[in-house]
Amino acid sequence: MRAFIAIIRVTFSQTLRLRRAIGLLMLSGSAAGMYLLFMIASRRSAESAAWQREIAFETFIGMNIGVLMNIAVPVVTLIIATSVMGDERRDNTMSFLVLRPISRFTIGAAKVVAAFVEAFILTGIGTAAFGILVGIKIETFSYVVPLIVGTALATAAYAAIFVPLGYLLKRATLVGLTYVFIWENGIAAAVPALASLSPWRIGVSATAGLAPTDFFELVPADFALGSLSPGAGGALVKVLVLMALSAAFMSYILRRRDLAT
Amino acid sequence: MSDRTGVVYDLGYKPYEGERLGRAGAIKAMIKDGLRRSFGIRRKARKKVYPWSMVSIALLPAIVFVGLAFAIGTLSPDAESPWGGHPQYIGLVGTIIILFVASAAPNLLIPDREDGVLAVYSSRPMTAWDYILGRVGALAGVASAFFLIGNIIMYIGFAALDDDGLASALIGNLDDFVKILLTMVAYVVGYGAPALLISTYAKRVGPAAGIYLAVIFLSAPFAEMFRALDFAGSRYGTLISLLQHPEVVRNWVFGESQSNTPLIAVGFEPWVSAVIIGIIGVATMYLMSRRYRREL
Amino acid sequence: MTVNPALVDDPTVEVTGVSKWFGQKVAVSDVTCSFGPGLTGLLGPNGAGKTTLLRMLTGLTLPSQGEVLVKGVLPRAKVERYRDIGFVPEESALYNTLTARDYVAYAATLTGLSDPGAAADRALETVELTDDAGREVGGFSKGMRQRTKVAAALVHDPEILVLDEPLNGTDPVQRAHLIKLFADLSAHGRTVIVSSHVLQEVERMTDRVIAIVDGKLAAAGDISAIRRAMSDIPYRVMVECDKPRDLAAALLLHNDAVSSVNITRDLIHLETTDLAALGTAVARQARALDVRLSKFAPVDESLESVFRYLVGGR
Repeated sequence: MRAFIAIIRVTFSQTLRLRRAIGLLMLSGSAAGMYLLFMIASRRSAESAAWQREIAFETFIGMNIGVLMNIAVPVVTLIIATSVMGDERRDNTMSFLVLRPISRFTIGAAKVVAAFVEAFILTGIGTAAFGILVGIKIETFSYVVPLIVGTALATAAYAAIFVPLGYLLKRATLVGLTYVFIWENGIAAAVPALASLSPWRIGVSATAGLAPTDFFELVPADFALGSLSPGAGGALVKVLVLMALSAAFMSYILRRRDLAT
Repeated sequence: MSDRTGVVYDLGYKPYEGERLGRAGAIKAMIKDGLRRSFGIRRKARKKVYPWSMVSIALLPAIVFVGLAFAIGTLSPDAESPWGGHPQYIGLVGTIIILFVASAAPNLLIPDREDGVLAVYSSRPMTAWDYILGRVGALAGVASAFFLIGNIIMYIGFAALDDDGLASALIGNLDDFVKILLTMVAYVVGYGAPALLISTYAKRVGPAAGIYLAVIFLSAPFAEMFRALDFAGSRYGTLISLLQHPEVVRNWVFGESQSNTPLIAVGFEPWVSAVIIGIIGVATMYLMSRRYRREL
Repeated sequence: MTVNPALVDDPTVEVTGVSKWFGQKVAVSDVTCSFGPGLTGLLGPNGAGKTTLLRMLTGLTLPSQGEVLVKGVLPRAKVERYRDIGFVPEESALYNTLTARDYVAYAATLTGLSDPGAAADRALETVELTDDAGREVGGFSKGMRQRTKVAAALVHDPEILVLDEPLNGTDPVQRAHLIKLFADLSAHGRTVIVSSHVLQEVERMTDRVIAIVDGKLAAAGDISAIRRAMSDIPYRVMVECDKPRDLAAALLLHNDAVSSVNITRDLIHLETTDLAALGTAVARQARALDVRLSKFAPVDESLESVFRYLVGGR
């Protein structure tokens, strides 16, 4: 356990430096920033309160999916998760890590957890800020927790996918970005059956499952959920399995393959 | 007495006595190196996978468009292909172009700084501007090539299907080709300059690409928000839409109707996008020169 | 008693028929050797396969063929085996954002030591980095970075120490200190394997070397014995005296062991295939001619000369 925590701690110091953290925090806070602009704009509107609430709600849904889950969460997590193993490989510190009497699964699991925690600190703050602003506008904070849970699960899923990628490929971030912008936002958007292969949609399904029912009325279901049903429990199970598989896969390649240089 | 003669040649160090190409030669060499680096030419096979995958994905719509035009023309000679031409193709591959530039620009600038190679450049008879021109020229070259390949396939393909014959159509549609070139400049500068700017200051290739993509794709919804704001000066916020300026120029050049882009909706003329692109280009060159004059 | 100098009687690390190839490139070809308590120098020119061999000894790289056993087991078979191994890689392998103390303490924590801080302090004191222990490794000089890596490798007191170019970047004082440290460790029964290009320093550290050239085992054992085994390459000897021409002429006339003579000022440079016979002959002739000898020294028994012969012939 001490080794597990030590690996996470050192991974934090290696990959989350101040300048990068500030930049990524701004990115994850982009949805909150945009919603704030919207709130300023709508204050000047002469429309009725009911109409404004409806627009506020539509805007919230649109930004949650179009900005937060579609761009901010994947990109922030991708940058962090590919660095977690990628930096070890780049700095030639892999030999330091593996020549220790700790199981390869412990190393793999620690890295996946480190990537998730580090990325979620950033995406979670951005999501919480967004959720609170939305709550102020639509006069209910019942969406804050579902949003944070959805972000957490999406972040964890991306971390699970991108950590091994960062070890295996030197251009992992570029491959990951292609996955996000072409596969997830292009191909998986057109084919609903592929939604279960899309981490952010898994996150949205969790949010939809926990949120009050009117969320689901406005979610553009085909694009945002595809073949997934709303439900936090199912999403949680999927993500936990994904993380376990990722750690197991890392363990396998550390045991069976020559150490990457 | 023998008439045989012999000579011993000194095989020691001989200074180079060939042609010296000067700064222009250095810039050309850097552009060539940049092209090779971006497309993985003379590199290992795995360095070619990403760029040529992007090229393949980008060419597919062009081939499909020409194929569909041929099929429709065969089935119904008077009908026109509803799948459009160059503006529609460019709109389809816009994301691919952005992804390609996201990969190319950081790979041109960041390894030189982080691997300590700038010191080698600074020991050569070249200035910081030579280096910048070499690298910017390389990105402009690869992005232009990437942009043009599909458009040229369509241009020649449509011309070959034209009732007037290939040669006549090629000459007759030259104005279309001019429009393609103008749009190309807008896309290359509009998407390339921000990528170069971010890569000038970033330390790692991957995060630079990620931040560039996030900035480009998030600029559109931000512009949308500024459109909704209703106070004096808020309309100028729509000009931050880096994603849409090249698209506005494309539609303007080809005479297409502007989709509901925020900056058009708030009353700006399309030429404003061209000016913004120009400003971004100039600002990028200025900031790069400041950075690299320190290093070189 | 072992007759093969590449093998030791009581090995802790055994390499049997090991080869490694990367695609078409053969990095190590059919190497069989072993390492035991004491210090062994691993030599070879750049690209010879030394680093690849060391990475196979530690389990970082798997052999394409053959077997490496560390205390009787495959390195990767049991992670517990890594308690017995300390490795100093040639490349940087440092977390630049950590202080030296934190870095070494991290190594201690991962190895399961109960008091990582105290262990780190002891290890840093061993390499004389106590004063800089609180500084970030990213700001260290090359020599300090090397010593930090050595401290991390020593913190858990391993039985086997594998060092790939540990003297790189160190100044003469630091180098002397590290050499003494490695010698002390080997004297206390540890298996120390050092790969280095600094041949004079390897010569100071140990008499036993394993030489790899083009991925193959080129020589093994005691340095002098290796030189003697190169019977096809004549010894070069330098003699300094007050009557070089007289002595040189006499040696040529009366001694078949001398194959060539060269005189520069007061020095005679001789080549011979029988060093012992030449020594006797020089003494006899010097007495007979009343020549005052001031120096008789073989010039190519050093490790550097042996290495040069192994790599490039004469």
